[in-house]
Amino acid sequence: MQKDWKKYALALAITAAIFITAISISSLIDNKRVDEIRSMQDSISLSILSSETQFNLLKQASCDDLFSSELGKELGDMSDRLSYMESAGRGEDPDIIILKQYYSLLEIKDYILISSANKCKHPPTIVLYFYRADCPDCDKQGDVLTYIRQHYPDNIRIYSFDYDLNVSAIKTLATLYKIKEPLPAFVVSGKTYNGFHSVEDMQTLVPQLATTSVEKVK
Amino acid sequence: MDSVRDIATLTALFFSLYFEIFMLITYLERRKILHERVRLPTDTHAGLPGVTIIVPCYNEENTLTKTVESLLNVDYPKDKLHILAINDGSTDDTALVLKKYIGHPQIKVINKENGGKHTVLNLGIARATTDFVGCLDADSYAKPDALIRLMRRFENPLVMAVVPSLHVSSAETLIQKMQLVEYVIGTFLRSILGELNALYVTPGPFSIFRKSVFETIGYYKQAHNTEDMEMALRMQSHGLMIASAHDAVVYTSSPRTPKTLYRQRVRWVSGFLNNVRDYRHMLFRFRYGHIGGFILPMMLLSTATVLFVVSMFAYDIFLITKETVFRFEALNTKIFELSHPIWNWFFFYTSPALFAGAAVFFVLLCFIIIGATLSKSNYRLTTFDIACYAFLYSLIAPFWIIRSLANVALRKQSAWR
Repeated sequence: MQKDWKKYALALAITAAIFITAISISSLIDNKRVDEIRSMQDSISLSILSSETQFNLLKQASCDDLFSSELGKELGDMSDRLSYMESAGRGEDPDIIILKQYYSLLEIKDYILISSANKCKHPPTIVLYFYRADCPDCDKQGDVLTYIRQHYPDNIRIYSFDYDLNVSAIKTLATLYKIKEPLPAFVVSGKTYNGFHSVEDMQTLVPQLATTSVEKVK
Repeated sequence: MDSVRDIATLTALFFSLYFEIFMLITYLERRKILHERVRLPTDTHAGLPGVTIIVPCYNEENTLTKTVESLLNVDYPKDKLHILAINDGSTDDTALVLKKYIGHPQIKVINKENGGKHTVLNLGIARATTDFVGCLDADSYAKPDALIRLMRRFENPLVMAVVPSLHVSSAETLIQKMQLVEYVIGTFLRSILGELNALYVTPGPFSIFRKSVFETIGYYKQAHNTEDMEMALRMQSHGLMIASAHDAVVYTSSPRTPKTLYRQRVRWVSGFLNNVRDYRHMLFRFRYGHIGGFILPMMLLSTATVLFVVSMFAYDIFLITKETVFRFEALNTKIFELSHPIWNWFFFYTSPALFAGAAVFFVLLCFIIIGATLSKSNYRLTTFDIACYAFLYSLIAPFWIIRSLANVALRKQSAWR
């Protein structure tokens, strides 16, 4: 029986080792995810900084750089990844919260830059979108906005903000546009709207979406 | 809710893996003996003891002949092998089929009133004149060298009963292909449980006992339609050793359809749960060896695990359906135009449970491979069979487990057929 106890202990040790490996691999991949979001964030902040610097130098930035759908796509990709992390149960993770705060600030910077470039032709329509985590209509609205972002990358730029996120700039933005409950709420061309709006509703609000034919999705 | 669930899932996987690793270590300890046993020749007939094989027949007119013929073809001295065919008041032509064997030097035919399988076995045991007695169900047949391989295990005077390695006799339907793999895993587990002295069932097809067992601990009794399990547990609770002869191959007919399989399994699982309840004094007691301290609690836990995994799975399906319907409302058919970056590694599912589950599955594959080398059946497993097992089994096993748990909770008897 002495030998048998050793076997129970050995089996426990091996099982524990396999489990520790499984948990390590999983957290390693999770860390790589956070790293990827960070590097996206660096690349976006570099693009914004470059446009901003150019703007300061010439009092006018290149419209192509500002409205590049590339930057819009990068912002969208980063937002996809952040919402994946939230759906994978890491919404409370301090790392993720910081990345989200950073992301919101980058959005606001990009928004300020674009709204100040008033000499450009065909500027994209700007939508400021406010949501919160436990709001079923926000999930639906999120789908509609993702659809619009994917299908009209050149005509619209959507900035989404977590209303509950502790970033004072978001609060200021919300006060500026008199955002009130219930969410979802959004601002299109300076006007505030509340509640769920379908793709068709959005097309009425943003005439550019209705007139332009559907772009190819990458 | 989510974190409670994650912890429960990981705990269930931990215990599954622990059980598997424990079995694998035991295999590695005993692998030489186990593989040698398969290679041992069976050509020496000297000193083989007399053995009586009971063939219980209840409405077996179709399969009976094959079973009896397989027994007559078994490689064993003719004067040492007695066959006792007992007709348990069949309502078909079983009696007629048996008639042709009356007067055969090796076969004795007994007709009795219907009384259930355990009455047949008890009558047979009482009539047996040999020191060893076994049983071969009329839906099973043995490989010619099976009996010698079984009897050889009795060279150890402590061995009181020996169980064979069971295989599926035909694999035509998907349900049967699935069982093919299941029985190979069963062979592996039984040979290891035999080494641990922790077998908890002496299957109806071709388990052989010393007759003294029944004189010591009593005859078969009615036990939730799984009398073979009750007998094994009774032996274990009295410290009587049951060995496994994984090299002795016996083929048994397996249910062809999901419905018949379901019925068989409800009977097995309900019987297991009821018998364990009757022998609950053995649970968590290493005084009874590995079976009480580890194996039976593990088997109970695995039943609970299946229930947990299934309810979680059903809950997931419910949530996903709800969300899909909900999201469909927002975008209607436009939802299909959304491009999802699913092929990016970032969005792959990589939870610890996934890797732990992969480890559990990998060890199970090892069991299949080892099981297939430990006992040579006529069928070679294919990848397709294993795929059938992996997908089909996890899909349908929960149904009979849930039904069995309900039966046991409500104290309902499950039907034999």
